[in-house]
Amino acid sequence: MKWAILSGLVGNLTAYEAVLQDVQQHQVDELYILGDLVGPNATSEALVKRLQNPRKGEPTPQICTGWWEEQCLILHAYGQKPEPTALIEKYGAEMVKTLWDAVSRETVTWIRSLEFGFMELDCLLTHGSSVSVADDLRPDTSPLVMCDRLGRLDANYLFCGRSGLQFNYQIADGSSTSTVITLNGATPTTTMETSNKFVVGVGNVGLTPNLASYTVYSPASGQVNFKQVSYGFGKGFGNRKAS
Amino acid sequence: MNKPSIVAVAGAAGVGKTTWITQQLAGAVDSVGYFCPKAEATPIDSFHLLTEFPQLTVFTDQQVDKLHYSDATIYIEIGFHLTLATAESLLTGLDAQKVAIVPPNLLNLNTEWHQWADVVETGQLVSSTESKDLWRSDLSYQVIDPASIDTLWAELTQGAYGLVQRAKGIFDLSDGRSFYFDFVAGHKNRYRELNLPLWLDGRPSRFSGLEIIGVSLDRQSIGDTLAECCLSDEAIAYYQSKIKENMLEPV
Amino acid sequence: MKIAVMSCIHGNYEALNAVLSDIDDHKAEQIFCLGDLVGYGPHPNAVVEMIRSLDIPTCQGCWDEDIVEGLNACDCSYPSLLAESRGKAAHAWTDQQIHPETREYLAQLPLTIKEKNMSFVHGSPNGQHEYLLPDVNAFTALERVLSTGSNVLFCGHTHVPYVRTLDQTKMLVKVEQQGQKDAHYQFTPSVRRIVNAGSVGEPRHGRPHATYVLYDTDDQLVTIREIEYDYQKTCADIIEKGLPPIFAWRLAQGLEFAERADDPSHVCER
Repeated sequence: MKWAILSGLVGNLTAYEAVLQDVQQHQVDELYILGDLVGPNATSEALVKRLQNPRKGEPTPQICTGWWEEQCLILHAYGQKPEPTALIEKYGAEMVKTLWDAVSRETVTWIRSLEFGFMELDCLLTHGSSVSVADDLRPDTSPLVMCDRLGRLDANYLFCGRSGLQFNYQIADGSSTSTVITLNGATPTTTMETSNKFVVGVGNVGLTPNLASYTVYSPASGQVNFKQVSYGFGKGFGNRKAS
Repeated sequence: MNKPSIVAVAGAAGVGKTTWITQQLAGAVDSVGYFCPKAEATPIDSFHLLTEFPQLTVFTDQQVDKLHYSDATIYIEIGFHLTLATAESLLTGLDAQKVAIVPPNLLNLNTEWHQWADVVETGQLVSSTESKDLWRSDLSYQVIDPASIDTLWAELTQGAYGLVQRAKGIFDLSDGRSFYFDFVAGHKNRYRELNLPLWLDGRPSRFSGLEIIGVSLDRQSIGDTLAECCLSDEAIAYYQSKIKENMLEPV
Repeated sequence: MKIAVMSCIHGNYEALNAVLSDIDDHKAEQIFCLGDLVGYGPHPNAVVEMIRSLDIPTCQGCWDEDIVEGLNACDCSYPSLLAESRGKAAHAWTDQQIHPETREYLAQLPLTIKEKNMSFVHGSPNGQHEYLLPDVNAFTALERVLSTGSNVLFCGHTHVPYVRTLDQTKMLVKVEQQGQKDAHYQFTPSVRRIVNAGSVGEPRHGRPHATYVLYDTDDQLVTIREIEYDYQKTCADIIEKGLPPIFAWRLAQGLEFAERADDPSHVCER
């Protein structure tokens, strides 16, 4: 069994088509898309249509919401927050109108039906983390934060896409001792241990011009393979394999 | 004519009458019956026994005449709410064997139970306090929030609404299951899931209810708090649809 | 320096007075308060007035927030229907009783106070609603302390005091990153502590007495204090003022009121 895991499409239909072709060569059983389907651009609507209507022989993508979808929901008053504060902080006030114009109300209604993430076997697949779509887990994030995010849903693997980076972060081993004193005195010291927990950044399909990245995961072996796909005019049709 | 074999069982609240009857039923080979006179509004014990012994014939007050014609061995539980004099009049004309369940500390005394009974059996310790209140509520059609009933049960049995000596209830919970709760002062709470199908279609029309025996019970507060543990129609529909959804998913 | 940390006073003026005089007896130089000045108890205004007049640095608790923002708690804040109806009754009573200046004071309270290598919060650094129970996963507990940048995290909210020392932490991390060299490193943070100050006005450790903690910043010694006071007076006031009488009963038992959400790490997003 193999899963292809994508994120960060941000309306880049060309990049998605290139990745989809590449995916089909790897005979994957499941196609997960961890959010950021849309972006502040004219091609987002077409990309959504493409996601909604897979062609014959193509895997049906399992899709969850990302940071950009969350912003759309907020703009259309479906969000958990009343104001698009995060959007304005990051991209300025004019982005509100740009995004509003880029993503139709019909698409936003569809976005509402998407999941926050998927829990398959011992794997959590989501855009940010178990905390929120905005949670930006990176190669230099503290292992305690990683432990917390995994632990919230008792997962051994967390696949995420917020950083846009491809990384495999392993907590190979961990231990910590605790002593608790209450009004009834001290309780025996306990040692908490953990091992082999993974947080995987799956890369991004559409953020880097002419270079898409995604991840193939084999649940049986735990093998994580990073894929990169060059596409576009003048870049050839070659398939740059990840090292 | 078959002579009915009738066993009348009496004893203080919480001493273990139903427990003793349960033991007899479990060992019974022939057909068995059960009758708890004047408990119709909240037939907690008979309902509870039926879930354990589906073959049991349960008699109601209207079916007293039928006791004579039954081939079954019938256990008549004399609830604490009946005096022994009332019990005597109920048993008139029935050739009943009288069994009293007596707490261990009274076993060698000569109490009214001893005088009444043909056979004395040992039950469990119960506090003996005069002037007992009885509070009963039929909860059929109600669905109870499990976390709320846990809180209420803890408060009730620890004295927040008066001194409770005995409490037993059957509750239909929001997850579709039916539970039996049992408390006797000085003993551990007992909880048991009843052997009944999940109820997932609207308000349950099967029996559920609560019976409390104690001293100076705050009846108003018990009733009010119990009402706050009951789910609304919307909440019942929501939980039931969620459970059905989950049942459809492959494991 | 000796400091005193208290939390969860919940409108219990009798208990607050008893704790303040115990703090006096122990000559603590500074008091910190972790919020929940109001709710459940009969004297919300008097409690806030006392805290203000003594100029005690205070964080905002979940009850303080609810009184300021209005009660729009998500369903998950209430673990049971009963807890919900009681919580709402107590909220409505408190909301109607408190003076405008009390509300203004509660509104401006900070979520976190930092002082040297100590941080002070009501529930956890993640928010006023998160319970840091003594048995929460050690790595989670450490994450909460480290997220504050402090060595000692003072919290309340659970109403049961404890001191947890997290020591000898070792984590072996391996990171493969596309286009970068693989990294291997050991993460070994120094010893950290979580100190839960218990509850002044609504204890839940099984006795009706008020609890708070003393902390000596020089030798890092924590002392959990349990203070007897005339709780019967507070109970009588609860009933007299028309609050749900069950609060009086639970206060007298020092019983946990079942208001804890099922998932202790759940963060209520409002």
